[in-house]
Amino acid sequence: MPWFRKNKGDTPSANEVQLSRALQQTFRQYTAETEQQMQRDRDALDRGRIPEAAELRVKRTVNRELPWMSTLDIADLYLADEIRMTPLVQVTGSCYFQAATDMNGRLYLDSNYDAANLVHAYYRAKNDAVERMSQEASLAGAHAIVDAAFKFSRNQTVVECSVIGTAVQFEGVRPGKTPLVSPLSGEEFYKLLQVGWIPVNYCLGYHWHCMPVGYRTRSISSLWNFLNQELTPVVERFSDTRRYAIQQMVADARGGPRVDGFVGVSVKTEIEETELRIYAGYRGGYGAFNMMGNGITIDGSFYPFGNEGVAEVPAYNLEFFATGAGIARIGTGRLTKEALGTYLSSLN
Amino acid sequence: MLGMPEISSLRNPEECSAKWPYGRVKRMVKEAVPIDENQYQDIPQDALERLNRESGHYVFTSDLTVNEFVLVDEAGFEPLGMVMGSSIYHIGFQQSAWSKNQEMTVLSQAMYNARELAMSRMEEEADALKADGIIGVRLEVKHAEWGQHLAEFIAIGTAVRSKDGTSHRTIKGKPFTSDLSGQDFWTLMKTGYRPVSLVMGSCVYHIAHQGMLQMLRQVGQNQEMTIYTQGLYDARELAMERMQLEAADLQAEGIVGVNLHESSHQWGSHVIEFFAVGTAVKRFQESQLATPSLVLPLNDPGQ
Repeated sequence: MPWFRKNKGDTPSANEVQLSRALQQTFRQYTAETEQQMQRDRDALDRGRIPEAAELRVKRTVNRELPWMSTLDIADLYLADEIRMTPLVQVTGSCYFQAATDMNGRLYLDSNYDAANLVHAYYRAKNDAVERMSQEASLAGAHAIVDAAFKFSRNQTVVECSVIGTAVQFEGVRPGKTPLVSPLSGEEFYKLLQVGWIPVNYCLGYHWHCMPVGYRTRSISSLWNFLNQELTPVVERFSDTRRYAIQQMVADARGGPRVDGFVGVSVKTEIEETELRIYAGYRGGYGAFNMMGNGITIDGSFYPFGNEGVAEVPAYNLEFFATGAGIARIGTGRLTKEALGTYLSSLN
Repeated sequence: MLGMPEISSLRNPEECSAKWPYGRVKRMVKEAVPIDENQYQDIPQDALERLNRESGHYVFTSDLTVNEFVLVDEAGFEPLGMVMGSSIYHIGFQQSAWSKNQEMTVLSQAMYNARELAMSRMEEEADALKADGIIGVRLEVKHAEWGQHLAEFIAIGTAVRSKDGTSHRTIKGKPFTSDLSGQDFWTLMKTGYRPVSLVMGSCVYHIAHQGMLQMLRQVGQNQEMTIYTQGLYDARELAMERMQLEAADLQAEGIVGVNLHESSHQWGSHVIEFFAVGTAVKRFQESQLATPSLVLPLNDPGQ
């Protein structure tokens, strides 16, 4: 028997194929969005609005044409019910933001060797995502968004921020202009309300610094250094990076309603070795840099400019990323409906 | 009582190597077992034997923890057995346009159909046990290394039955399904809601690649990548809407514990699947829970 006929017996018969197709047809059939719809969504995003489908979903859910849905788990829902907080609809927000680069896709650094464009991209991605999520919550007439789960990712110079949370309403309280945003779970939200505090917003502290190094710093980590010794210059610069990030986080909190403190702060840090390209004629940098005509001296090492007028300098990327929930004290003991109502009205 | 064919005949390679093993087993069951032809069509004979509660040596199985078992009992239900459904599915091919956002409907449909097949087989097992529902459902996808574009979809849960004989089946007469744990199930029932069904929505989406001209236009610019944002939005919205429509079909009031999974599976970085899953619920009585008291544990869960 020829090889191409060997498995013929295993081929499903026409009846079996027909049966399988019929079975597949019994399932719900999915249809994709049209190209025109996608273009309308892009236009809406460019105008600072949310896509049509999101708007429609929120409206239909609030009008009870569709079942409500919530990211809250059962215990959270029970506690929400206990404080007369009703979940309205699941709300989302997303933004991809590209930091400015040169022709080769490399980041520009400012005069202090900070990646100001990347820092800007992180804040824009986060702010736009939160703004879009808040638009959905406002459409639903929500007072707050609870259990907002944020996800950040970076692919080279493109930063993504996505957030999904549950828009909620307090019974008998007039909706505010802008809903409060809480990255805390329903249970944590409940606990804070029991002791007179309320989550107000989600704050980000981010800083990215590139530290060019030379002989003095590199000699400490050299194989030939047999001493116990701290990399003091890197530690100092990393401390600065952390300080800037936390300053940014506080500034981020001041952009909205009053915040008295942060809880649930999570921190991620990263130090990686890299290579910095410094162009001839660049006058930025630290006091320790000496420009010497055809090269540059950094940290005790001289790096000559190559044929393209570029010196390649070893460096460390120092990154500090912190997020947390900004909370405000609005009473003492368990918050009453009146205290909550007064606070929310004061935000309008 | 079900009459069982010889196990050796089920394991006969000739019998089992057919493309449609479930259909083949069904025919064997039909010949050997006096049961309704249209009932339990998709359940293999081994499973039917395991599920036969009248056999005299039936022992219930469950993947509930002790705490869950006690709480399920407290909620007025008894575990009947662990039930499972699986589907090994060949996911078809669809050519994506390099520079366009688009839903990969062939892939979306495949992911949905295969999950639905696994779920319906699990429901049939529960049906054979005369269960009211299935709790703690885990829905998993594994990509097979032994076949290209093959994926195994598995649904596992514990079938339960109301002790007082009240029916908690869906409006379509099927056992309810839910991914809630025993603890969550107890709390939900006490709050006056009952699970209706595990609902899901899937969307596989191709996000456009950037062309050279677009990349050049972006040099030196801080700007939003609207095409990526729109793709992500649309994929997520489609998945959530599909999940909501499933719940609406079953006349549920809400969906709790919604999880949105994002995965590229094996399709590369520009093709992502958004999978929304949650438990549709419906109110059936007033809440019976007492006012909670604030307890702050002194142990640090982070340590």
